[in-house]
This record gives sequence, C-alpha cells and structure tokens, in this order.
Amino acid sequence: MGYQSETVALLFSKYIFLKPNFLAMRKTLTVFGMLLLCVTFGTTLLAQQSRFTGTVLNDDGQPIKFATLQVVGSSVGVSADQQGRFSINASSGQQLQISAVGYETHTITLGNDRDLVIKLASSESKMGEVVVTALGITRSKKTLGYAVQELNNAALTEAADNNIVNTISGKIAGAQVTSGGSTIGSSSRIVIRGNASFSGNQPLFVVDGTPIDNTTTNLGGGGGVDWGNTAADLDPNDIESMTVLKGASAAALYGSRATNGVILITTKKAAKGRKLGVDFNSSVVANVPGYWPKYQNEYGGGWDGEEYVYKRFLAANPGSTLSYNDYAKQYAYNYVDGAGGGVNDAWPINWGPRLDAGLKLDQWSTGKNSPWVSRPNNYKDFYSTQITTVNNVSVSANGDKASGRFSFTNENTPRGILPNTDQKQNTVNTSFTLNPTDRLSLVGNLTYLVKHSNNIPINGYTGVGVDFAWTERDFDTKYLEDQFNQSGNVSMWPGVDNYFYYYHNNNTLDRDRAFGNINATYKITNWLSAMARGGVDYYRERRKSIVQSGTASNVRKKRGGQFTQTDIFTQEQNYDFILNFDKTFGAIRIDGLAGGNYRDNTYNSSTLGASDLTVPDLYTISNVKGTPAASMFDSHKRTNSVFAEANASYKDFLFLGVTGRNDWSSTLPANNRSYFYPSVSLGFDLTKGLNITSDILNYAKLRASWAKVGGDTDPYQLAGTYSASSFNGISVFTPGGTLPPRDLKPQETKSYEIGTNLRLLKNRISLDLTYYDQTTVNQIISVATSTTTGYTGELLNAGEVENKGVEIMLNGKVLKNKTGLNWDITVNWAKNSDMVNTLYGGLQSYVISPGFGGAKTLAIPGQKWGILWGLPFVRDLKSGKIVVDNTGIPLTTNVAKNFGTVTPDWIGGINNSFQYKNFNLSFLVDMRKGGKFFSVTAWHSYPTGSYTVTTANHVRENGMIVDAVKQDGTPNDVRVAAEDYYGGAWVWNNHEYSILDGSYIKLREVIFGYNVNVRRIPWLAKLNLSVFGRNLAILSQDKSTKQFGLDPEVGLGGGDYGVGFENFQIPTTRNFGFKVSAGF
Amino acid sequence: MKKITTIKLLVAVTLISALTIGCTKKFDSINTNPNAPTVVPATNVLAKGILSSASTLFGERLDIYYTGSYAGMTAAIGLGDYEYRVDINNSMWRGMYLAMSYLVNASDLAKKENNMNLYAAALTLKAYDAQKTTDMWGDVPYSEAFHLKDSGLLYPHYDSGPTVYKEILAELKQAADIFKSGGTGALGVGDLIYKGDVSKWRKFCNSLRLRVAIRMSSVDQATAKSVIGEVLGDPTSYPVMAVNSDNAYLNFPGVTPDLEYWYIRLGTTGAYTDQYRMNYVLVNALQGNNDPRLPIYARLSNNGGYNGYRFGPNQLSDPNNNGNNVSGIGNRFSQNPAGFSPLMNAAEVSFIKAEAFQRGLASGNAQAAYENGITLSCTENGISAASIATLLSQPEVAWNGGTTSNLQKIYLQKWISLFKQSEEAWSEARRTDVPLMTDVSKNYSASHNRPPFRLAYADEEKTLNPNFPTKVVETDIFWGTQIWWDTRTGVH
Repeated sequence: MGYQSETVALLFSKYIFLKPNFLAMRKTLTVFGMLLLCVTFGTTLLAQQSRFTGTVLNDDGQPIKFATLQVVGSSVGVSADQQGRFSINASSGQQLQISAVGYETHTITLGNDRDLVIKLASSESKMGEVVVTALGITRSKKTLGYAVQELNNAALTEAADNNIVNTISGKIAGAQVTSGGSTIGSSSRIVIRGNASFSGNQPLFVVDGTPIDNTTTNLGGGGGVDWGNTAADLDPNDIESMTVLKGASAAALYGSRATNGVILITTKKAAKGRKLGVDFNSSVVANVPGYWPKYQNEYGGGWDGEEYVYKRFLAANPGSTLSYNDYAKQYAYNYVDGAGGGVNDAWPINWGPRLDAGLKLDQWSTGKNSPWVSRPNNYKDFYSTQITTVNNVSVSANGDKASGRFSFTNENTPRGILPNTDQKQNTVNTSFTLNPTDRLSLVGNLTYLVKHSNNIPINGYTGVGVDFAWTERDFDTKYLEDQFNQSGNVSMWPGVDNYFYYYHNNNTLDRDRAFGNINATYKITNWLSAMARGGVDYYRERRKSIVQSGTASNVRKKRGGQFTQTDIFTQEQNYDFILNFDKTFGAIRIDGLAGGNYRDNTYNSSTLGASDLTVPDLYTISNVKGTPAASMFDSHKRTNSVFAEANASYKDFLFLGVTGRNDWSSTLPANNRSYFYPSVSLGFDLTKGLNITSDILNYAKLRASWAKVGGDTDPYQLAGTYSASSFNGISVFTPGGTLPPRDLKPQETKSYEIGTNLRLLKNRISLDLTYYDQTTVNQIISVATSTTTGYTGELLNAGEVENKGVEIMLNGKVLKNKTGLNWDITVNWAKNSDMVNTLYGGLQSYVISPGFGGAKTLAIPGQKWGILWGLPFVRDLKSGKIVVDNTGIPLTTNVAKNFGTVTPDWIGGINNSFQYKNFNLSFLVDMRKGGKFFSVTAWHSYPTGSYTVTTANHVRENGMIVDAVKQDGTPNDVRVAAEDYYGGAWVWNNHEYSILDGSYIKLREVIFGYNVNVRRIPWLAKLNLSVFGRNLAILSQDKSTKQFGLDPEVGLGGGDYGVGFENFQIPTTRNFGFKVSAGF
Repeated sequence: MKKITTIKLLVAVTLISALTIGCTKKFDSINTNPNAPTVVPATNVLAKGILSSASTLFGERLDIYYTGSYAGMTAAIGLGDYEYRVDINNSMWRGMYLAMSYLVNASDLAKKENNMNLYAAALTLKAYDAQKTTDMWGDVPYSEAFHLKDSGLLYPHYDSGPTVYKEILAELKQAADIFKSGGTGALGVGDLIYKGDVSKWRKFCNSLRLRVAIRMSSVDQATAKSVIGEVLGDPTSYPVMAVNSDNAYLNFPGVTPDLEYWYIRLGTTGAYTDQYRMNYVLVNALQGNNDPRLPIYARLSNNGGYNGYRFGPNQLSDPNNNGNNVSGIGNRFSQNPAGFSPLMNAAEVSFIKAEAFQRGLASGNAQAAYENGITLSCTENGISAASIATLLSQPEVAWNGGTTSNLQKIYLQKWISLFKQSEEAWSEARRTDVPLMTDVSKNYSASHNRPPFRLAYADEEKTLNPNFPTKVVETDIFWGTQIWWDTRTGVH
C-alpha cells in the first residue's frame, strides 16, 4: 500500500464529505458510491494504528493465497491476497494468528519489524486446496467424491483470447473446445465428457452462484453469420477463478441444466488486506492469418486448357499447326466481357491454360494479349492482420466492515482479418461486501457491458472463402481492390459482386447486457446460517443485416436493397434461499444445506425485414417496397426447486455426501411436471485412514459417486400450433411439422464415476484419475419421421446415449529449486466414447445436423454419436477398388453410407512451465486424435481445379488413369484429362473424398513473462510483463487435412449443427500478444 | 436461543415451500404459447397447401432444372448435366408430402367447419399432388400416409402405382360429387387459384380425372374409358375446363416478397448470363412448324437467333451450346414478377379429349378438339388469330397433313402446350415417346437412350421408413424400372 494510493483515498473522502447536501445526496447514492464511502470510513478509522505488511509462504517459499490473519483478542482480521501478501493494522506486542486451509495455524507476536515473512507448515493431509462447488459453496477439495478442476485468473488472462471459451482449450481434462473460426466475434463450442444428447451438449455457465446465458449460434453445415456465443461476453480480467464441474454428480445440485457439466466462475473481489489497490492490465494482440488453403499456381482460368487436352487436340487434328498460345486463346480462355462474350470468360474455374509459360491472352486486369501469369498471393491479398487492444483498470478498497472493487475494461478490435469487420466491448464490473454486523454480510456483484460490431462476416458457403475457390488463379486481387476503391461494385464478371464491395453488406450487432446478484448471509448460530440470493442476467440485442442496392442481383432486379433487423431480449432471474449448517459431533462432522430456487426465463424477439426498398439504401421499415416481413416470438419458462445436501466426514478421512433436488418445470405436462433426483458421493483418504506415512506415497484418496439428473424441455412443446406468414396480404397458416407429445416425461441422466487422487515422491507428482459412465435416457427430442406420415417429426422421449470415459490429470514438479530453475509439467488426457444405444421404435437414424451438400450427421443405434453420412465411391466388391464407367470416370450411387464418427478418440494437453527467479516461460501443447469431418473445401477442391490436388503428379500435362477397375472387374486403362476426372459431374454425388481426419497436435500457447521486482518501489505492488502467442503452430496433422492446408480443428458456429463440417474456413490466425499488468 | 433458532428454521422452510410448490398453479398458463394459434380457419391452411404445392412443382429446381431437362424443355448450361443431389432430392420428396399433409389438414378443418366445398377443393389439390408424386417416383406411400396423428402410423407402407391411381380417382370422384351436389361453404381468402369461384374448382377437379385417366389409358384401358366416359358423357354433372379463364393458375401479386418463382431465379435486365436456358428439343419442335409461340417461349440468344441447348456426349464442347448461343427462357415465363404457376390449363383438356376421341376411348370430333387445344394454348400466349390459322396450316400441324400421324400431332402439340409444366411434359414424353428424345446428358449418353425414367427416392426416406421397399431398382440413379403407365419398349 503505497503513498499514492492513500492520496487517492483521501481525495475520494474529501470529495464526498465536502458535498454540502450530503444527506440528501445519500439517498441517491449508487452501490458504487456506498462502496467508496465504506472504504473511506474504514481507511479513516484505522489510520492511527501501525501497519504491518508481509507475505505468507509455504515450506517451499511459495505464497499461500488467502491466508487469514487475525489479531488475537480483537476483531481485526484480514486475508492475504492471491500472492500471499497482506497488510494489517495492529500494535507491537499484540499476537497475530495466521491460518490457512491445509496448513497448521501459526501465531506470532508482533514486534518492531513491520515487514514480515510468515511461513506456515503444511497440515498432514497436504490437500488443503479449496474449490468452489455447486451453488457457489466453497469446500475443501479433499472431501469431494467427484472430479472437479480449477483454472485461475492467470490461466485465463495470460494468453488472452477474444473468446474466454478458447482459453480453456487443452487445460481441462475431458473438455473439448472447438472454435467456430477466425472471423471476428465467432463462437466456440465446449463439450465436457462428450455428447450426452442429440442437441445442446454444452455446460452451464454460472457466475458467482447465478447462472448466465450462453446462447450459441447454431450454424449448420452451410454456415451463416456467426453472432458468437454469449459466454464470450465474460471479461477474463474480472475472473478470479474458474471451476469445472464435470459430471452429473458434481453438478447434481444445479439440476437439469447441469447434465453437461458446469463452469463455475468466481469474479474478483477486493483483495483482502489491501486497503486500496489500483490494478492496470493492458494487452495488445495481433491475429495474423496463418493457415492458407493449398491453391495451385500452375493453371489458370478456363476450360480445356491443360497441356494434355492440347496434346489430345493435336492428335485428333493431325494437320493442325495451332500453337499452344493460339489454341489456348481459341478454345480454352480469352476474356472479353465476363459474360460469355469471350472464351470461357463467364465461369470462373481453373481448367484453363498453363500459367507462367509465356502465353499471352486477353485478360480483365491486364488487357489484350497480356502475359498469362499466376498470382500466388491473390487470396492472401484479401486479408490483413487483426489488432485487438484490451485495457483494464480496477480499483479495490477494503475496510473492516466493507470492501469493494470496481473494474473497467475496454476491448477494441478496429479491424478484423476481413475488410470492414470490427468489434468492441466495454465492460464495467463491480462488487462489494458489507459486514454491518458480525452476523450479517451482504455481497453484491454486477457486470454491465456494451458490445458493438459494425459488421460480422458470414462464415461458410458465402464470402471470400468459397469465392476464391471458384476464382481464377490468375486473378488479380489488388486490381479488384483498386476497382472497388475507384468505381465501387465493379467485378470481372457482370452479375458477380466485387468481393470488397459485399463486405459492406453489414451484419451489425449491438448487445447491452447486465448480470449479477446480491446476496445476504445471516449467521443464525455458529453452526447455522441463512442465505438469500437474487440474481439476474439480461440483455438486449439488435442484429441488423443489410444488402446494398448496388449488388449485382439488386441492380438486375432493380431493387433498392434489403434488410432484416432482429431485436432480442433475454432475461433469466434466479432467487435462492439456502440454509447452511456445519456441526461437529465428536469424530463426525456434518455440514450441508437446504434450500429452494425460483427461476424464471423470458425470451422475446421481433424481426422486421424488407425484401425491397423504395429509396435505395435507406434501411428502415417505413421505406419498404412491397410487403414488410415482420414476426415476433415470446417465450416464458419457470422452474421451482427445492434441494438439500448433507456431507458427513469421519475423522477427516472418510467423507460422505448426499444431495437431493426436486424440480417443477412449467414446460412439462402437469402429471410429469415434478421430478426428483439424488446423488451420493464417497471419499476415502487412504493415507490418513490407514495411517500411511511414506515419502513415496504422500496422499491417496479414493472417490466414488452416483447421480441422477432430470431435465425438461423448451416452452410450448406440448400443443401443436400453426405458424403464420402471409401471401399478398392474406394470412397463411402452416400446420406445425412436429407432432406434439402425448405424455412427455422429464429426460434423465444417470451417471457414476470412480476416481483417485495420488501424491507421490514428496508431493512431487500428483495424479488424478477418473472413470465415468453416464447414460441419458428418455431424451426429449423431436425424432424425424418420414414426411409421408404427415409430419416431419414427433416430439417424444426417446433414445439412450451412453458416455464412458477416462480422464487423467498428471502434474509433475520436475525441477524444484527455491532460488533456481523450477519446471512443472501438467498433462491432461481424456478418452470418451459416446454410444447411441437405442433410438425409438424402428427408427434407424436421428438427424443431429442436416449438414451440407447431402452429407449430414446422424445418430444411429449401436454407433457412436455423430455419424457422418454421405455418398461413397462405387467400389468393386472383390478388390475394393473404385469402379469407373467405360469413359474412365467413377460411377456414382445414390446409396449413402456411414463414414465414421465426428467425435474424437481422445483429447489431451501438455503444459510445461518453467520459472527462474522472476522469469517464467510456459508452453501448452493441445492435441486431438481422430474425429472425422466433411470438408466442403475438399469437396470443391476437385471441380474448381484451384487446389494442388488437381495438379499433382503432372496430371495436367500427361492426363491420368484413375486407380480403379472397370465394371467387368478388369483394371481401368482409360486415360482421361485431369479436368475430366476432377472437373466431372460425378464429384457432386460423392462425399467420400472429402471426409477428412480431424487429428492434430497444436502449439496452443506460449507465454514468456517477467515479474519486475517491486519490493523496493514503495508505490508499486506488482509489475508483470509478458509476451505470448496462441495457435502458433500445427505440429502435426493428418495428411488428409494437410493436403488442403486446412486447420483440422475449426468447426462452424458453436452449436451441434456445425459439428463435423468445415465449409471454406477463413484462415485461422496465429495470435501474438504483449501484456503489461501493474498493481499500485 | 435454541427455540429462536428453531422458529427461524421453521419460517425459512415454510418460505421455501411457499415459494416453490405453491407457485406451480400458474404453470399451465405460463406454458401456453402466446405466439401461435392452435386452431385456424381452414381457408388459410388451404392457402398454404396451394403455395406449398406450387413452390415445389413450379419452383426453380424441379420445374426448370430437373424435369425441365428430362422433358426436353429447358436445360442448365455450364455443367449441363442431370443433377442428383441428396439434399435437393430429399427436399422435393418432403415438399410434395408436406404440401399434401397441409391439404389433409385443411380438409380436416373444413370438415369441422362443415365447409364441404373447401373440403372438396383441398381433396382435389391433394389428389393433384399425389399424381405428380407417383408419376415422379413410382411406388409411394399413400393409403397409409398422413395417419400419424389419428392412427399412430409411423411407417406407412408403399402402394404400387396403380393402387395410388385408384385412390386418386376415388378422391377426385368424391370431390366431384360433392361439387355436383352443390356443396356448402365458401372457399374464402385462401383460394389463391380461383379467388373463391367454386364452379372453377369443380371444372379443375373433373379435368384432373381426365388427366389421370388418359395417363393410365394404355395400361388399364377399361378404367380409363369408364372415367372419361363418365366425365365427358355428363358435362352438366362433371363440367371440365373449356376456356383459358378456367385454367388452374396461381397468379402472383408481383409485390415483394410474393414474386413468381421463375422470376425470382431468372428476373434480369441487360446481358443474359443465367445458366437456365431453352432446350434444343423444344426450340427445334417450335422452329419446325414455324410456331408463333417460339418468341414467347424463348428469348433471342446473346448472339441473336433462337437456339436450344443440346444434350449428348459432346455437349460441353459443342459450340452451339456456348452461353452466348443458347436462348434464354421467354419473358412471359421468366421475367414477370407477377407471373403465374400453371397447375393445369384448358388446352390440355382439349388435347385429352382429342386423344380420347382419336383412340376411341370416347366419341367426339378429334380434329376439332385438337385444333381447339392449339388455339387455346396460342391464345393464352397472346398469339393472334391470323397467326394461329397459319400455324394450323403448317404441314406437320394440319390434321391429316405431313408425315406424322394425327395421334403423334396431338401428343406433340399437347407437350408444347405444357411449357412451364415440366413434370407433366416429362410424364407425357415418357408415356408417348413424343417428342422422341434419344440424346441424353453427357455422363449418361453411353448407357441410356432416353432421358431419366424417374426421380431417385429420397435418401431420408430410406432411413426413416423401414417399410421402404427393398425391390426398388434404381439404375444410374435416374433409371431402373419404368413407371407403370410407361409402356415404351426398347428404351433404357
């Protein structure tokens, strides 16, 4: 606590006290004002005593965070901060008691030394770690009968990413993160322990005990605008820690929504012991597009231009003396007007003449008889580096009756990697704690944020990715950009928009969001307390997409442009009332809680749209030409719950936990509305229970748990309704496609897990092993029905999905040296198998995603979740070879086939972290084995002729004989041109060559940091500098993805629809950052 | 102290209980959908049935591209091939069955409203869709279809083509008799075809009976004859379309977003670049008779002149097929936002009569009916009486003229009059082999001598319906077993 911060405090207090009408003003004081006031009081009252500062360390000299320091015989007590530092007011001669969970309590007598270093000895168990569990209850990790895993603030902020979900990747055993892509604001999908159901497999996000919304853009295989996932609104700078509750057991108290695990987030509070602190974090990150599709640069636009076809022409016309240049101009490619006026100038495709071979042809960008050359960087020329700056400042203050923190973050990305895209977010976070009496404490947390993007680009089968696949390799992007800058929407082909122009068809996003809670805890007796908590998360969002009047299509149809504007309001309210008890009877300690929850969800949306505008480019509804499109949707849901938990421990080595919860959901039929679910967990500390003391085995715990969790559905599923639209002003009612259920029951997930925690070799090695088995039955799903029944689906309870798996967390302190080099290795590894055991009746498949281009993902009984389903090659039964017709081209079939599952075999991560004095270096390697996907890029790599696969092995010079057999089984001997094979129509009826393997090993994070020694700088509490990189390299990937230059990780959107589909991914970026953190 | 604690505890527990359990009474109203109705007027569902039928049958993919190229009427240049795409195939199958299910829904609502005219109109259009469906795919679920809600039938079994036809004829007869009995009830605003004119639905219904009968006439002549006899023999009870104002056309308002389907895809000004063009077979047939409908059906190519896209092994390298050499589709059919989807027209009815008379399925003046058919078609296309007279005197048009038989002339002129009804034109070409189309698209030209026989079954149907028949033969996707009324021999 330095000199400057005290001045700041004084200034605050002056400002407040000097106001003449202070009493009148007090009525209007905001929460923030109260917080400052309380802090000021505290500061003023305590200023007379001496101040002792210091650090609490463990045996190894590492700081113990949040140790409690109490002046014996007084009410003065503080907590150390995360770095073990504290500051307390006391007088010399008084006794100071220092305690921390997992350590022996220690008492010292204060002397003249004002700067203390206090060491605590570890308590016997060496497992004092506390974690936040369901409902925000802090518990000692050793007592838990199920797996949880924690990430601290550093893990989330040191190598910051725009989306907090991405920073989890590789760090939590069994959590699979799939990024929706590198376009600005795109969503990411996280799944813990695999997919338990056919939709909505993502965990629940809970902030300070109150659930928040993580609506995720569920893009299908075709893509669309990725509006992001709303958990990405969370500002990592405000997060103290994140706990991942993986299984149903850990999460049973959260009820239905916790089936897929819970991510519990604890926001930062005023660091106790620090009277007034100011922290400043600033980072700048450059996202550099890094992984490019493998375009060929040997042949350019047109048809019939490859050397082999020219040779074939000469052979068919023996007298011909046509040169390659003349042939090319006459038959393959010559640009006149881009509308078919020349030779193959209306269809951008790359089966034209050889590039860089001295040919001269008429071209768009260079004019008549100009050199026919490749432009290898024409795709890269479209992109730029994205720069994001994040500036965060927080102020925290602390008195003995009140403390608070205020934080502001500005995150700004003025330009994404694609032109005219951007995003910015301002976040205010505040929290306060009041302890008006010893028995009562009031805690409030509030986050308010404003997010804005002028333009979020479309992912998938619209935009520059697909355009360049279909663009000539001789195409000059810089010339295109010049044309755009000079003349607007001018392009090589009339009817096709200038690529730069259509990035001004903006998709604008605005979101205003507030979430937080207030809770009051009252200590009724020393073993019983009551807590009431009210929390809310709400946001208003506007999405507006426009199409300019100048697009080729609008010019053609003489339209003034289009727009769609959607306004969304989402709100969730939660009210909890919880009684907590904790009592010891001899060797048995019992603690637990009983409580109730009231939850209310509201969702409203309304959409206005115009398919034509009277005044061009005035995007307002009154300007509509024709009939405006308008729709609205309101939804409301409520659940009431009662729950209880009891934990008993015997002599601190045997732990038993029981929970029970009953929900009443408004979405279910009255007779099935109420459902109960229990969980049981058991932990046994072997080392303590059996009195094992050994330097080899320091700690061993066995744990087992069983849980059942129920689940409900969305509102309004119980009755069939008609949806409305209009035609020529007449209402048109469409009967619902899904047959409503007759007797819907809650869905149910049963799971058990067993596991162990071991600490070996003087705690140098720790190992956490978990095996789990989770079965979801009676899923509430709309099973697809044959349309011939009159319905496309029927809502019912169906299906059984079973997830089994193993998770391993291994931590090794390879080098441990108080003053020298420290080296920690953390490994996590998880293997999950999600099987679809049954579906419904005779149903042979359930569509998880309608996919793209006829390829889709299905649930098939007896198969793993997410089977890719598409059209294969016709193969010879005997040899297994591809069968070709008598022209040497593969036969096609309309009988689709199973191509394997989209889910990976296993996932894992290895983090190495080194520390030497004030330097630290860590690198995280993240990996995934297996998991198939359908690549639309690969699918188009053949017909477009744009990729290296179509020029490999000199096929364009010599033609090719497809490795296949004829229909009679004899080997194929028909030589065909590359364009006959790769450019043939058969490719559209074949998905097999586009099924790729998603395995990868990635260098996910590298962080190099330096903590400046601030001991001698009185006004500075900390100063850290770091440089970091994310997604720096794909160390290994399958050759199937490598040949196209694809990042095997990227999915589409953040929902289940996009899993297993890659659709012209925007190049993934390598991110480089620099960060400064300072505390005053 | 202990007592106070107990009291506090009790209060808390009571509070919790009151908060949670007490409040579930409101749940039913919370879960009542405020956005959408559970019961609506039948007429507004009829509108959905009409739009849904038209958008599948007369939309871009099926009408211009797929059946358009099978029928020799239109073609997609560029790759120019018969396209098979799993997802599109699924959506066509789904489109037909959804349209029919909406019509079933409308007829159920009509029954509850005691509106028998609306019931009969919905039944008529459902039968219309059913014939299209079985003509495209062959054996399809019908008698057990649309019964999930009332009978829990999840896996409808497949009916043979003749069985579906039998059902269709029965449904049309039922509708015709309701109309005959002077059924009650107004069709309301949802009648987007005839604006509530029940007498025209009546004619549409009976005309359809003729269409169904003539399609099956070569295989089940007895049934065909009896249906044709019943309809044509009692015009008072069973009136049919006679003039163009009887045509069952869905006319579009032309105000966005309610624009005609071909226009949505093709509407353009200036240079013509769209891949959808005219087919050589139709352009050639029109040119052969100096047919005045040519400039209505087709646009001049970018190079001037009328020319259609030619299928065949060399279609990609044929200079005639160059984008600038191939005609676009005529403005009346593709350039009018307030255009139409032709479900059926009076010209076809006249040609059916001509064929029935010519083949002795009924008695009447074949030549008069034939010439009336041509006149109706030309008039509809804005051709002057003088030009019609000239056309009727062309050697291969004039009755008893030229080298082709009168029956062939009826078939050809009927086929020409079916422009923009590609599925119907394709069915007629499959039934009559007129016009003779031996050139098929490049990839299939080596192994097939006629355009596709059928559409491939929907992939989704194979996985969703265990009753999908195992005996289905699909050769090269589009071929296999001929549709049951397709009696051509030597075709493959």
